[in-house]
Amino acid sequence: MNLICYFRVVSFYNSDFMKLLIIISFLSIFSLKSNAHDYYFAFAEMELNKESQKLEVTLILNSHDISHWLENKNFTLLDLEEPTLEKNLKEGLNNFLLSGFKISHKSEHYKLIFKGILLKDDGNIEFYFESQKKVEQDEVNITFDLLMNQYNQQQNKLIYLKELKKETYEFLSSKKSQIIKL
Amino acid sequence: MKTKLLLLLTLLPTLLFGQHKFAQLKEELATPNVYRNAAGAPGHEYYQQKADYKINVSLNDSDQTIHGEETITYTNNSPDQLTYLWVQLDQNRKSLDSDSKLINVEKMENFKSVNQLELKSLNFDGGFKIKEVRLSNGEDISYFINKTMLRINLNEPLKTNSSISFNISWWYNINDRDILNARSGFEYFPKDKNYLYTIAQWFPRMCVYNDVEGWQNKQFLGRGEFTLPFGDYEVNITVPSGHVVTATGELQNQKEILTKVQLERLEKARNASEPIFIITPEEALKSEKLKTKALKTWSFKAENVRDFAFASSRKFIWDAQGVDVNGKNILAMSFYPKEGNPLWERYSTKLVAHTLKVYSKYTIDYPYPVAISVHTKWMGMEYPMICFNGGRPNDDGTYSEQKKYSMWGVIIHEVGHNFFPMIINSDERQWTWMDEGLNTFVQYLTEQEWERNYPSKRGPANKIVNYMSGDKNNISPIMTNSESILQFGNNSYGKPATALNVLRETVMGRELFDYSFKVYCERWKFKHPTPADFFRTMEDASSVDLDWFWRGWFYSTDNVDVALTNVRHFITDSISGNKKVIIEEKINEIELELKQPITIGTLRNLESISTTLNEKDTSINDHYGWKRKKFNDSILEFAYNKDINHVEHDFQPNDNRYYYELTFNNIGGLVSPVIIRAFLENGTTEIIRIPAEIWLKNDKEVSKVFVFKYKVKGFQLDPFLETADTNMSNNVWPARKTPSRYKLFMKNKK
Repeated sequence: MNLICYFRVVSFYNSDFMKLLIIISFLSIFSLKSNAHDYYFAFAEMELNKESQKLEVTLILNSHDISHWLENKNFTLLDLEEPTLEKNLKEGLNNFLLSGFKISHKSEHYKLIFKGILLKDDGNIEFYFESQKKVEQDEVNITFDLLMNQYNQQQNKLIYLKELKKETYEFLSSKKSQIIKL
Repeated sequence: MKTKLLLLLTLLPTLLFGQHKFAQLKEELATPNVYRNAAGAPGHEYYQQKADYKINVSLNDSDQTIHGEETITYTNNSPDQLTYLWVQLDQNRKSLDSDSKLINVEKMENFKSVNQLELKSLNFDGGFKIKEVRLSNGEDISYFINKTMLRINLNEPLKTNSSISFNISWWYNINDRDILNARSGFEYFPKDKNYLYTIAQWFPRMCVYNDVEGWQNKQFLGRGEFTLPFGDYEVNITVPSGHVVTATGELQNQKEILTKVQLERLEKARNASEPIFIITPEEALKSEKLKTKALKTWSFKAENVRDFAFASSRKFIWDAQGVDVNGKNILAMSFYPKEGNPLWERYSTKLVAHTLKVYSKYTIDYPYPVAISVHTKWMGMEYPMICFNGGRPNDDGTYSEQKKYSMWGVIIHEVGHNFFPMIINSDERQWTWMDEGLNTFVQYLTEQEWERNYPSKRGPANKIVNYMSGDKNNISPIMTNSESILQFGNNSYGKPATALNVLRETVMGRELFDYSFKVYCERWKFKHPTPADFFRTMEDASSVDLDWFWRGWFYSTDNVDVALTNVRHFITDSISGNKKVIIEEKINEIELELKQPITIGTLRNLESISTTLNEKDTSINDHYGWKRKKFNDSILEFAYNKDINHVEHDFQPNDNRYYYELTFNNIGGLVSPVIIRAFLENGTTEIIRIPAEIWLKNDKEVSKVFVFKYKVKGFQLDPFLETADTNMSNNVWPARKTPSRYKLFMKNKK
């Protein structure tokens, strides 16, 4: 069967109606490819920098997930290969990614600052962030629901690097947030 | 009470043994019989049915409908009398009353707007409209349609070794792929007002009747694909005269259909080592504009195939080249609109040719006369001799590296499906992994021979760890029916492909694996294998007990996570003359500096693949080539060139002896070989390979003593990322901190 169902949605049509048709095609009763989508993961790796007391975060997405978003904004993956990202693209990406990955403690929200991007050979794209403020609490609440609104089967995973150990946290549509002891 | 206790105690070892990781697969596999033997080969009374088709079909370009009539000649080779026959009506999945609509799970949150909800009610009148079913001698025959299946009630039972012919006529509406996503359909190009049709599951097709399922008439719900008998096809396809048609099989009336120039080019292409245009981009562009109402009929014949698909459009550019597969010349072809370029004219046919060669090496010689790749916007789907493949550049002809690799991967994968399941004809309705998994595995081998260190998405063991370490509530065993699988792609494509790679590289070794895999393919070409036939053949041809492997990788959702939990160091010391004692010595733990790991496949391929295709044919290398070259140049820099195999049998009397007791814990539950790299104080590194059978008596914790001539600075498990170990942080002793991706990025940025 098809292998590249992970193209998910194509950009060919720009009218709102066509976009809706395309989206519904993945939700529709006739949809095969959405069922056959081969990859419903996004990853994050996080570490508390003991010197700066800031959280360092890498978000790892498959390029097809980004392709979809880019194409809707009239960009392509080629634009991510530029040494300096266009301002609109950088801001848009930032908003898209960070709407699905949030760090907070009680009512305090930790803003993340975009530090860079790397297109990997394996088809993944890594986005690097650092918390703007120092994190002085001994725990934070992570909400990691990136792409869950788009895809029913989306499940995300965070690896927290803690000294010599790695702690893994799963995020599902039924469990979008978790408390992590730093 | 005493009797019950005694009975329980008597049965306890059996009960426990039954659950053991190394227990033989007895209950799980069907009992060998005269149709399928215990060695995994077809039995001495193996049989299969035959279905031959003669079809006339017309494609109406003005209302996007298909109208067809067929004569099916069905031959009963089974020992059973058949009182009815089952025919598949796959298009009915798109009918207004399809079950697929009802069983699709939805939440209101899936619908983001009122418009989307309204579109949910948009109904497409798909599905076969059956006009007539009649015996070929003109007699009436009754039939009954049960959703996607049609039962023909025979007037008299069909006896062993006899045939029956009957006619069916039908029509249906073709779906627009962009609205009603499916394997088959059309794409409309608004700029030039043309259609591109990729047509499949378009005629009523016979079900398989065999010794395993009886009639395989499980309803088509959308995911579990097709189970079809072999047969011969004669198909006449009538389309608008400006259309170019390509299909399963060989064109029979090319002298009537093609121009003299096209015929000459086609003849030349048969022996060309590079693709040659039969229809050039300029000619296709001209054709796009000619919308005549006249019709043309293209005639095709295909022998010993399980299905038939075709594609038709005014937009097709057509190129072809010859491929020599062990002395047989095969015509590799591609059909694509201008929107596919520049990727398609540069790569498609070369990918087809390469795939046929590499697959033929690892499986069976490609038996058909042609192999065809047809362009679609984004999907991929396979049929005998022909497949529909996505990968379209941006409107301005630029493309990302990822898009290129996606297109390459899809073409290799879909052409590869010719072998699994088109020839090695497994039951797709039941077991997706038997074709997708095996095909994805050989796809990986093919990709690695296309370009040095091709960044294959699936195959290498380390690519599956995120899936296998995921929430077990969202993972199914590979041995799950196609319709019930969770995480379809990872389950049916990725995990089985990885499992076969682990078998090849780590459990069996390449020589034993390749031989056994080829035996399986040879045994079951043009036949219907089951999982048991595969499992048994791989063991039977290799003399390796793999029941633990199938049990762990295919029947469970366990993952590999072996931890090195303790290391003790001992030396011999002399006291009072020659008397020696063993004393435990405290270890000075210093953090190891580890290099970037290189996978076992990458390392071995450096030797086993002397020249990849892109090293022979440098025209494959595009503007992204420099990145691959840089990556490849860095490989050896990372490699531990001094790795040597650890041996303990050549110690001389005066050699120093340093003893290390290592304790391993099986945290993930899946038993696995244990691969250890020892870092010695003299600067060398030694590799120890322990078979999975070390876990035979205790699958939770084992220890092992090793003797070295030098002190050991540290140990590392799975140094070549070959076991799919899901947690590398517990693999190193002394324990070390893994640098984060963020830190590595910032370091490289500086």
